Amino acid sequence: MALTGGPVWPDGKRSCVMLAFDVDGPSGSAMVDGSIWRMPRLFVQGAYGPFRAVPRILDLLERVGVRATFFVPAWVVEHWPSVCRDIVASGHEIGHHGYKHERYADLSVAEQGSVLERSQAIFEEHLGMRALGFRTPTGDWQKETPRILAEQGFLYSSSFRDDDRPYRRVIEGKVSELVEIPAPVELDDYAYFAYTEEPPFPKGHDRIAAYRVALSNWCKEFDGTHRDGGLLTTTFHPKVSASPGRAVVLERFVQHVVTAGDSWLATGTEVARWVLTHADRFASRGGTPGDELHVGQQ
Amino acid sequence: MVTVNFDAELALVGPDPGAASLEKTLSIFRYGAVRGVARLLAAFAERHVTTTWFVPGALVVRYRSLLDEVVSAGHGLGCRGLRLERFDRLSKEARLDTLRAARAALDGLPAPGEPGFRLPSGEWPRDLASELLDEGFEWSSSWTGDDIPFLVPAGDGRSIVEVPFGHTMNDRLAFAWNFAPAIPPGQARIASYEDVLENWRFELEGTRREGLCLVLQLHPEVTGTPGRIDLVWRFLDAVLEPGDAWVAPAADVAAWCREHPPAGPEHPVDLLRRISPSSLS
Ligand SMILES: [Zn+2]
Repeated sequence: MALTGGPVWPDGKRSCVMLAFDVDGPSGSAMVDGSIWRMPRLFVQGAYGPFRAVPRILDLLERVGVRATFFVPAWVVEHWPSVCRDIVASGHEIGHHGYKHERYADLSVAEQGSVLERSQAIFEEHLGMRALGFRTPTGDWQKETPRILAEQGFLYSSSFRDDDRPYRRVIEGKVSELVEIPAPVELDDYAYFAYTEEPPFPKGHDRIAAYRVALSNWCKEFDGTHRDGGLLTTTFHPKVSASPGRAVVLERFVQHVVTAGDSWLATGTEVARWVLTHADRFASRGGTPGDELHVGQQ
Repeated sequence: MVTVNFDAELALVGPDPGAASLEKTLSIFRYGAVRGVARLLAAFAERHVTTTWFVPGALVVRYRSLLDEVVSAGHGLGCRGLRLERFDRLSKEARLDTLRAARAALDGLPAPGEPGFRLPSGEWPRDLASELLDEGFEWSSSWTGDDIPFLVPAGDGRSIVEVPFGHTMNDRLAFAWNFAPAIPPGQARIASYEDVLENWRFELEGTRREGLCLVLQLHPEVTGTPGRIDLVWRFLDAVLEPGDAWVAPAADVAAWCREHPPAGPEHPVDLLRRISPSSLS
């Protein structure tokens, strides 16, 4: 596939945007190790995501008429079920993001399977659905993870950084039915806005970025993606980028995308199904460092 | 709501008594007392804004005349411990003693309104809300995680009013800088003044759009400089110009919230209390 290849997206759309939010809430390493229970301020700062920010984002998306994908740890679904039902009822998609935002690289194969099964059961109980999409919580997975995802019926992962187009993942030498929708760090709000006093984030307590600069960077990445006919997805955390003021920035970014007119705004599942039914238009790739690259169409 | 943390030299010496010999570094913080306070007071007076000043009790004697100017201009007071203690590292007895002594120091200043509390740093000890109530503090401004005041449960049906802030609205996080000891720890560059003002205006726009409560945290040694006081002027102008914002001291905001408790789904601070492992209670 050339940098600006032939028609790739439905209805002659020029590019694709998968607007995505990671609703971590107070989950994460402090919840996994239990220290969160002695950090009430940190808990409440995290809970701001499902409590205040997600409803604000749902209003915003309704105003601009855009559907999005929300990756939600099952623990958050258990504790904010009605907010999560609102997400689904508004036509958005919910994907898997761990139970307590576990780092998959730290889990055995059996533990990975049980986090997935437990989370799917919670999704069924509270939302009447199973996740088809997956985004790695806290960094890396293990080389077995994609096989486990495929076996458990997942359609896609949106975790890697290695392309600006989706591709089919090669698992143990074979092109699988698991699609990867890469997510660039440039559209991760942690790189601009996240700030916690203790434990310090960023580690050196760097400044909070200028909202104007973040918005400008995000729009430039969209403009380039649109020019080259690729896919752009976001890693926006409601607790980070939907404060009252940052929600204004977020809305301007979404408006910028919508105003382009001919970008396909799709959920993760829509993208994955499109890739699987138009496999000749997309590459396949996978394996661990040192394995051969398996490239379909270049 | 405009708040000022007047920590002066205790910003350094409070957490680290060994820093008392670092006279040059201490002079960064003394600058607030020497110049910054007067600049902030002038800006507030020109625009008829009543603010809230959080002061460690141990500073009351040292800066008595300066603090008399603050309260005689109508600004309210809040407690920041005696010496910016980390309350999560004190025993219950030590916390109560500290609050009592700090309260006695603040009571020596004829400030309007009931004094509240702002946690200097560290985590919120589980029993702090009830300890604050026991020592006569009815409100706090110590948490993030909401855009309107909320009630922190103190047990036995009691609660303290919390007026939360966001990290964007804190001048120290944007501008404070020192060579050694390193401030901030990674020695990030001093932020662009215009960009920080614009961030504040974004939050003001979002706050106005939804009718929320915005809390600005200033430090005299940070925004009391000749160049940065301009940000305070222009931000206050942006707040006041439309004429629809209630700019009030924290005690008044807390009292209003006490009379009009927030409705809506369970607050995370209540959820936390409900689900915390019982081994911690
Ligand atoms: Zn996450």
